Amino acid sequence: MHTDKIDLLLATEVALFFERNPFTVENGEGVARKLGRHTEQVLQALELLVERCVLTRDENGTLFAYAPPYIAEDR
Amino acid sequence: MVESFLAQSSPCCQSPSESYPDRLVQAGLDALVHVPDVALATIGGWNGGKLVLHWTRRGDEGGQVASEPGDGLYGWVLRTGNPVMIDCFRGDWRAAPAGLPLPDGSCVVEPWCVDGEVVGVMAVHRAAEQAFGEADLRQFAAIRTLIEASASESQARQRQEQQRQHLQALTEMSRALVAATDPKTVLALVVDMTMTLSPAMACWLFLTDAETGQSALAAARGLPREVLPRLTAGAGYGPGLFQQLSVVVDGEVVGALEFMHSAELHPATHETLQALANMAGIALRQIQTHAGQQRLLEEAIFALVAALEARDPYTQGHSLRVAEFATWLAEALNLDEQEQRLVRLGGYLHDIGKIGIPEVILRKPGRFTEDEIAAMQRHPLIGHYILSHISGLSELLPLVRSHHERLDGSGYPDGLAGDQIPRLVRILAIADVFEALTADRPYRGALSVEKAFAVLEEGAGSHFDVDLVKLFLQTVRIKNALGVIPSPLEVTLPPATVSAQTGDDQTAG
Repeated sequence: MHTDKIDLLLATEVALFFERNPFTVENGEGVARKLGRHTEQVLQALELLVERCVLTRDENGTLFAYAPPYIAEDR
Repeated sequence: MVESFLAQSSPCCQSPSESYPDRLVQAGLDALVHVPDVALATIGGWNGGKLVLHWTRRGDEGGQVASEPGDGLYGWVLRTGNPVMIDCFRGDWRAAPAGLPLPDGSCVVEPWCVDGEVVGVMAVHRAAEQAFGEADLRQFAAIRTLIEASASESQARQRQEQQRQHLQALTEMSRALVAATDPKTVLALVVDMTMTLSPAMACWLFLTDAETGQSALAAARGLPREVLPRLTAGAGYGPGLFQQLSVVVDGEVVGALEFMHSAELHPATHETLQALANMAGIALRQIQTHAGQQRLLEEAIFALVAALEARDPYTQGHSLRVAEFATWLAEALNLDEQEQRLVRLGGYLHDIGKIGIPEVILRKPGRFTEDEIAAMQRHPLIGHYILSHISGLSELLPLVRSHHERLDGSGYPDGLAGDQIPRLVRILAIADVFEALTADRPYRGALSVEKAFAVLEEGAGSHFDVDLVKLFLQTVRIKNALGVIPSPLEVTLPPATVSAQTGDDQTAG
């Protein structure tokens, strides 16, 4: 996926949204509504974040959730 | 000549530029095809890793073909950056990308550049074996210059847009970092944002221990768990390009943000990630400093509580148990971390003013006289006065001063009523009375939990907040069923307890 064509600010917003709400499981439309953004753009950002391992997607490919990173226990 | 450059053709390297505006291409083609005797003009550039060629035939249609980089004549010009002029060109499938309807005749193929780099080709073909003259070449050069200037401007706009996005993303990230109160949040932010903003396939963060100087893996994303123990700072892992950014705080390197990425980093991305790494370092240090200050403050609070309990042994453990009960209620109310902390510290310190009450009163075994009651009732004011000298505890002042106030205004020292009594104070008041009732006193034994509940229920609405009492009872019942109510003997003061002495306390605490 070419990041040139993706609104990185929106991708940042989406990533921060899932970070702040790590138990959210939502589809593209739902995330777009929560952020007040266009669904099509949000879907592009969601795709990018799945590709970059920040989010995971369900088997049907419609629901997205945060994939927590590895954080050392003693931190 | 054709043979010589065809022999050298090989897959071209990737171009840094992958996009240029279509309107620019169309304008260039229109201009080229109007040069005398030009039968076909092409302009092409990189798009999605392919050489995409747009073409127009005079008085006819146009089209677009995409080919692998390095194919034929055009690919050679792209790769070498040298122009080619051929007076006698006869169709050779190797010379042109498939699908491009090149006529036999003569041609000029030139590279076009942006910021000194070859990013595309521009070509004109004649349908006759007729050499291009100087005037023709000057015209082509002028058109090429216009194409290059427009493309350069277009790329500059793209760069600006990208920089704007990075800057705004950085602002968003700095807001999130400033709001972060624990190191785990900061670490997650760093790896998540690195993956979001860069073409990273995996990233990780090493932090250096200030005392030992040893680096340890603090966070990672995009790598299988089993490889994490094998990661070494500065070594990279797996395929791709390795990038390391130092995390610098006050001129000191405190760690390294490392990642493997699939494509060259845009300078704006590099700058953004460097800023992110440094901001994260600062955020981590601030959290560490703040935690250290909080620890120091809490140790000072325990020292104060120990000093109080040395003078008032009958209430030994009272403050700690009040703190625990109040925290239960705060948790049940889902108060945020800061409010829970205030309630807990308020529990520790609410009776600190008793330090200013004469020991003869504090340790009196029998009932108090009216004067002694008046003296005891000064302890919230004394506590308020003592703590008002510690700026870090200013938020606790209402808790210390008002924990004996009652909803109907019959409490002391200020006779506050209703909404004048803050919620955290109401919580503390319930915890304080419950603890006093369920603890042994010289003038009576400890009441059972159910009897203490009855007292609280009786006072609900007049002394205590009705809803809070209900929730408190419910919470304590659950804790009681689980057997986790602390008894006076179970609660000890960190860092040291005070040995039991004789004395008395007839107030709720």
